[in-house]
Amino acid sequence: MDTSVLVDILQRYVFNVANLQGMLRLSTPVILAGLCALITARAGILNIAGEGMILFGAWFAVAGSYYTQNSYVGLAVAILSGLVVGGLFALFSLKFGANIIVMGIAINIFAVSATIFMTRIVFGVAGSFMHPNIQGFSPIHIPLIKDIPILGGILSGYTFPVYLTWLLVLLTTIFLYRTPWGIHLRAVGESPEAARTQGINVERVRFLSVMASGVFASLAGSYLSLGHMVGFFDQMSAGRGFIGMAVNTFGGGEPVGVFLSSLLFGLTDTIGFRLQGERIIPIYFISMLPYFVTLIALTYFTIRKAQVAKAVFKKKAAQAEAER
Amino acid sequence: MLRKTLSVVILGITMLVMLVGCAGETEIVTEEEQLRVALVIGLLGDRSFLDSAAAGMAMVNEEYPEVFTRIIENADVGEQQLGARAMAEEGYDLVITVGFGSADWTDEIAQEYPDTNFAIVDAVLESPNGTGLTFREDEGSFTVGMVAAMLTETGKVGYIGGMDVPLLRRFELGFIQGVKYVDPDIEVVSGWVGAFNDPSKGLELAMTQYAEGVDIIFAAAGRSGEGVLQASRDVGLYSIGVDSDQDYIQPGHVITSMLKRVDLAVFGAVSSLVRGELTGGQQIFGLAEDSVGSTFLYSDDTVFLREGPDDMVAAIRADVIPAITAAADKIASGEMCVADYMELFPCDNPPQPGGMP
Repeated sequence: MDTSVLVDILQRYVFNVANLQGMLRLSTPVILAGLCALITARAGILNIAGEGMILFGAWFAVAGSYYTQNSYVGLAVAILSGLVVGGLFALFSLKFGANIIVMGIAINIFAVSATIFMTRIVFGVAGSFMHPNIQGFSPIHIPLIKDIPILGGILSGYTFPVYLTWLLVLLTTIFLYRTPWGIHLRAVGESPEAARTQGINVERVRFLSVMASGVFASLAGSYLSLGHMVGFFDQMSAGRGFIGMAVNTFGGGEPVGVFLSSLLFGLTDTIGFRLQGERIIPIYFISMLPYFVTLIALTYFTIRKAQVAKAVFKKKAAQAEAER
Repeated sequence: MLRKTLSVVILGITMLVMLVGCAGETEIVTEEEQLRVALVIGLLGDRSFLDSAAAGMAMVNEEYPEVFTRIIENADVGEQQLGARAMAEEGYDLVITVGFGSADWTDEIAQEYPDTNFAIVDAVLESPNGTGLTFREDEGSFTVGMVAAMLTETGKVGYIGGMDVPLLRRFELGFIQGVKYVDPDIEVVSGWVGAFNDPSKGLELAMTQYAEGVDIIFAAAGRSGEGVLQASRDVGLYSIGVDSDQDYIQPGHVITSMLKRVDLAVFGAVSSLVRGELTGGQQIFGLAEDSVGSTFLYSDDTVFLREGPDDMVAAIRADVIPAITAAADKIASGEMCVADYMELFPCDNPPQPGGMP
């Protein structure tokens, strides 16, 4: 195969504007779910409740927007719900000592039924709720940038939560490495005892990190129900809370890593959509693609890490040998 | 003191429970003559397949107020199984389950309770007391395929299914035959969301197809299909809904819906029960039974005809409706038949590509 064919294939399936836009839209809720997992993981907590928190966020965003006909109020209501759900989750698991995994599972199951129930009670419909009163976010066309040929198409024209997400990736990085609270959070995650001897209130840091994860998850939910679709559909989180956990691991617990690995997820999804039209590869193989790529990459990175560690060890051993 | 109070309370509660229990029993005795029907189903609210089945029960309530009906919703198939068994145990006269995947366990329960009638939507039961309510989705999809082919301006139409399962392949093959019947040169792009509950993914898959030059997409994907319908509004193009009449969901963008009148099938099963004619076997609902097909076949006042662009509406009234009505009549009379992906229905004279008069 000569290179022009390869370039042609890459352009058709990977690097075209529509594909990259799809990638960015699909990865947005995954990035947020990844940050939700990250902020707790860095405080030493395994939080599996992201899935349920996303659902609550999606529901409250729709409710807020429905009653005020303002998408930003919907977003604010969702954030509030994220704080409440995160707070309750933290209260029960951290303060009252309920097993955090069991609590997480409980929240996930509860969210599915609770949102369906609330939809029926509050809106009087079963399952899905769409209404002209629900204001979704409209696409933002950034002046100047939108006129740049290819780049404008890729960077402009998304809804508000997409840009907010990019900003949050940046802010989370700054928070973790450039603020005292971020240092406290990391200290608590890496060695709670050491942190405690330094006078850090470990319980409070963990409590706040769980509440923050609720906010990230509810943002993911409001993107799904106001920034992408407009309306609530039962179980619309569709596993993104769990993919977020995978993305966090994959991204090495770094916000930028979460961002990049989410993009990879989104990209494999959109490539999969393209390939489907061709009828050359079985559909189930294509659906497997994002997970398959993750598996390969994780294996590679793990092996790489082990090799690096080994090399460092050998180097140190050699140094010690030489010194002796 | 505390212990005494407690025991009094417990005694009181026990007596209350016994009283209530007695009341329940007497009620059942008086209602023995009443026919009781249960529909065991997944979570309602898909505005599509499942809601249509529930609408059938509403029709029953309207037409036969003397029949006691009950809908048991459960997301989990295992729990649906328990629900169906409990209803049979309670002596319901007819238990209706839904979905191809429920066939095995429904059959099993039907064999255990030979005095109860069972019916299942989308599958066939082997047990003599079981009735299969099956649809010719291929015939219905054929008619919307014709609609899409006659209205496309790009010469490219799309199909999006929830999951790659035989039933949805049947929708796809029927749709393709309908398109090719109008014009063999029109390309059909197919896609599968991989989930029935992920509207966001459905939306993106639709966006991909629209970006490839498709201008009308037929979505057969449950809740994921709602994403496809929304995508058609977002990009200002068109889509086709499924199972229930979904034309209203994105007015002016959903051209038509491929109706699958599960409500009629459920209602029909109950009315046969009332007449004492429910005999088991397989009931087929196709174009001949007026149970599947484009909304245009059943109404000349659809949402799209009121709110769609004038030129398309004019084309639909002048060309599309007569053409699909003629084709539907041909299929209903047996003059032409649609090839079935599952090969359950033999077909000797399939529609010829470009064969539309």
